Amino acid sequence: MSASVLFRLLDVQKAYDIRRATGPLAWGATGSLKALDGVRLMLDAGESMAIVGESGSGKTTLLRVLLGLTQPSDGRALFREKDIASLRGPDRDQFCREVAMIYQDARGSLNPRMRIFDLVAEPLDHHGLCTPATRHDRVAALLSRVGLPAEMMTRYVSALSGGQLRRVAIARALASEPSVLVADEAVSGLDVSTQAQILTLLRELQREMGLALLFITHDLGVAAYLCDRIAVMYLGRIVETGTTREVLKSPAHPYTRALLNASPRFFAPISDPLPGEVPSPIDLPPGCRFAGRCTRSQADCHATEPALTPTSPSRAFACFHPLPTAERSAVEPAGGQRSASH
Amino acid sequence: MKPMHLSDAPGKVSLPPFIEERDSQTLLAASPLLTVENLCLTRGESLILDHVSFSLRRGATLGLVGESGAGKSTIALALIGLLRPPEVGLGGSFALDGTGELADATDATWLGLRGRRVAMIFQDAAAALNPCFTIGRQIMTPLRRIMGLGRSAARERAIELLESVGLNDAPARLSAYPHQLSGGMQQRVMIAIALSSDPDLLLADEPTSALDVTIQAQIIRLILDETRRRRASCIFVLHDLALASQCCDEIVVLYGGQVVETGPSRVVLEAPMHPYTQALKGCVLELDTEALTPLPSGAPSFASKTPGCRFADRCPRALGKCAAVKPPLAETRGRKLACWNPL
Amino acid sequence: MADIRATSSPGRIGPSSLGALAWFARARFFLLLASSVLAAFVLSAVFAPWLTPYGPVEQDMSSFMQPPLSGTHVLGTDSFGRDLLTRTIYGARYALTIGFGAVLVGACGGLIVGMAAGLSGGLVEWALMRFIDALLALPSLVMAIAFISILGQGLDKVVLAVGVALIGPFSRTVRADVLQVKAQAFVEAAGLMGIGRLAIVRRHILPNVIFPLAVQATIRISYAVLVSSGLSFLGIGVAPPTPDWGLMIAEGRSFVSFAPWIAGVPGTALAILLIALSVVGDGVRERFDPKLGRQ
Repeated sequence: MSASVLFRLLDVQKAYDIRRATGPLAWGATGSLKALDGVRLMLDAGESMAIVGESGSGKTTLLRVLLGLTQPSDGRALFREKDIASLRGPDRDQFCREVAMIYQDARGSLNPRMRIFDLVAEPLDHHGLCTPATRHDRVAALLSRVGLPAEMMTRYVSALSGGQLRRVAIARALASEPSVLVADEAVSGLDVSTQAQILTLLRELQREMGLALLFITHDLGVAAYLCDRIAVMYLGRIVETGTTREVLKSPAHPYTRALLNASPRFFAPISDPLPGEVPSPIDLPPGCRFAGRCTRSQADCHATEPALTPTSPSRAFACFHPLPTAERSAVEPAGGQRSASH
Repeated sequence: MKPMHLSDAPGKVSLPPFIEERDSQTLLAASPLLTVENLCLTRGESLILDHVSFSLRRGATLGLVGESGAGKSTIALALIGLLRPPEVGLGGSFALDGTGELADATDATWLGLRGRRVAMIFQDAAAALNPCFTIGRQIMTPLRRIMGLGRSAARERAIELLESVGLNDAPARLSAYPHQLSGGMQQRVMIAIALSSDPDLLLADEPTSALDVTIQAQIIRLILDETRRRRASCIFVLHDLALASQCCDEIVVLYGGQVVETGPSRVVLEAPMHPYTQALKGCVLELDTEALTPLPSGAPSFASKTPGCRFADRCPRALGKCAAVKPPLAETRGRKLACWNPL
Repeated sequence: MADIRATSSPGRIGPSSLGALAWFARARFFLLLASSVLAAFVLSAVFAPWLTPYGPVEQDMSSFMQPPLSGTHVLGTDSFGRDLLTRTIYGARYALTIGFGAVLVGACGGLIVGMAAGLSGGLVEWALMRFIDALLALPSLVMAIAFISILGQGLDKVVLAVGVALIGPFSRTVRADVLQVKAQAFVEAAGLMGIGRLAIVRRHILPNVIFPLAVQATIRISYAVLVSSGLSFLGIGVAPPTPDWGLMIAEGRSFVSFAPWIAGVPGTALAILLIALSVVGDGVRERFDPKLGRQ
């Protein structure tokens, strides 16, 4: 199994020191902002995993750690069992080849002064994947794989629509023949019809090419459609993981259930929303970080932080009082727990 | 069966007497609050809105759904008089109960209506709130100008309003600046400002698109509760069909500036008859969606010369005459439909 | 999926290209006018020997200080009997050469310094920033004077002096652009692909910086012309009897009360050229500047 593990995060922590002003001229004690706290994650080859979380959950920081753009302040972030941030030379080249990223802002991730052909050919040239003679054909093949006509090669970024640019970004990501695709909200902000097209394309590609997929999203529907496994993040921690089907059908962690309740579903009554807002990640109080908003919290929840404990080989959650199996349904239980609005 | 909660909790806010009087009258009124008939909007050569018609009862919520560019925000802006000649050309008519024809209303008329009878909540609260002024000043300005309250009365009312929209520690918030609040709180402030003069019609232009999904649920619930309580009507501009099914009584589906299907949301969304509505529904991801059926690529053309249905070139059921003759909006099976070859 | 943007121009241009031209002419009348004027200056500067009736330094004491439209000299003559029309047209050569040349020098220097400042960090960046601050602290004219005093007089020295004086402003804008481009996603994406720093600078950062720089340069040409004319006016630019406008204005100073055309003709020509350059520069910026969001 270890040969096929691509990413492995072991108790990764990323903390920033924040100095806060206590007065107009005075700077108070430094606080610690833990963007990531004790994250444990594993991605196998060919596996598709969705990282779900709202703003402030730390998913962006997690992404940056995985890509080697940030170094964790504690813990280890490994790619093929090698520390990501200290990869050099041929190891780093291999990492760059195997890990391809698709950005949320497709237009921003493509150089506006380059033609589509040059954009898609750039990784081909850099990694030496084809001879100059075959470049044209390779680019044409990649473009047609993502559903774009070959004529698009000669055009510039400004001439293409948002949906088309997403496809170009995907084509470019595929050019280096990666083993894992990392996507950061790759379909948010698109019309549903474009979103549907891109998602269908991604699913096809992932299945055909056996790519591993790490998909960061806030949309549970996207996670369910695209990924076999899911990891739910809250305030820098993973609070639940498992197969998407299981987790979304019978969530164990109250936050996962709150996310499910809040996701719009056809004709479902608007359930009582989760009260309050995400607390500030600076100097969190002891105990479970979700305890302040949790309807099931009890005394021990405020005392110690629950760790992500596996209950089966494929399932884990971090909660002292998880939802009992009988009560676990995607809808709020009858009788309702009317927590007062904040 | 209405798919939403009615919050009947008595409000903490005590409404000024003249509003309560009007309240009892409105309960007896049978005529619709808003009627829009054949509204057309042109910008240069393009026909942005093509004969849009719908009506809205008092106390009901209506959803304008469609993709970007379909004209939903345009309709909202036109209904509050922010898109008028000479910037754009307006044809057709729309009127609020009790006012005259609004399509050609003057500046003075709109000044009297905006904030008092019609109010709007925008998508990006951070951009809609002035970053240079405190929250207190932004809430109190309409209270003093439109409601004519004195300074201390306005301050009290502002605190009441902020508390009613769920912001705790309201007196402190009055002296805060917009950037000091989170996105959800900014949106609540905007809702408070919109509701401050108790309008009959609230327009909410994608009020939650910029927010996290758990905050989205709070805000939608807040808007629904508040409009229910004040017996106001609300028009939501949404791109999320599932959300529309949850919070709107009626729904208007737009494509390329044309109304393709409209009616009670349950009727329309459970069994859509227009191919576009069906296609949109097929693109919505539910948790157990196995396969998505994407629409073929394309975008509607806004040329004023296209005579027929603007969806014809992407429609899987298009007939020869679809591109040539525009189907009229006709009543069928409990909804209004504009299609020559419905499902 | 087109976004409806509020524009004041009509929705679409009509099918005929003549109609398009007519619309363009109506909407951008001043731009068209200024471009034509600029083109006229450039062409007359290029074809000066064929357009001018007399030589630029040809003196004719019998017809000195003749007012304009008096017989043989269309724009009059100066105190040496030299034809003003000829001298003005030749003066355009000097003005435009110095203007474009100085901007070229300044833009190249600014590009190098600005990119170094934007791409480096730590102490190097700090030192470069202070260097740019020092360059910006002195007014361009003063700096140009300082350089002339070191380099001496002459056309090439003027170009160099004015050019170096322009390095400060250019490097400031280049650095700002570099910082902005560096933060874009496509630069990070290239880094993630494993592309080396130098290649990223060459392929991704430089092209995106040069374009706004070129736009800035067109705007500053008029300023360069003004500064060089100022130098010549002060007598430390090009040497007489070169038909440089600044020099001609200086020479006509003493005669302003009774022969105002001697300073007036080159002065008017300078003013018209500067206005035309400014309008064209603005028009280019409006059309091409990506920061204004219209492309």
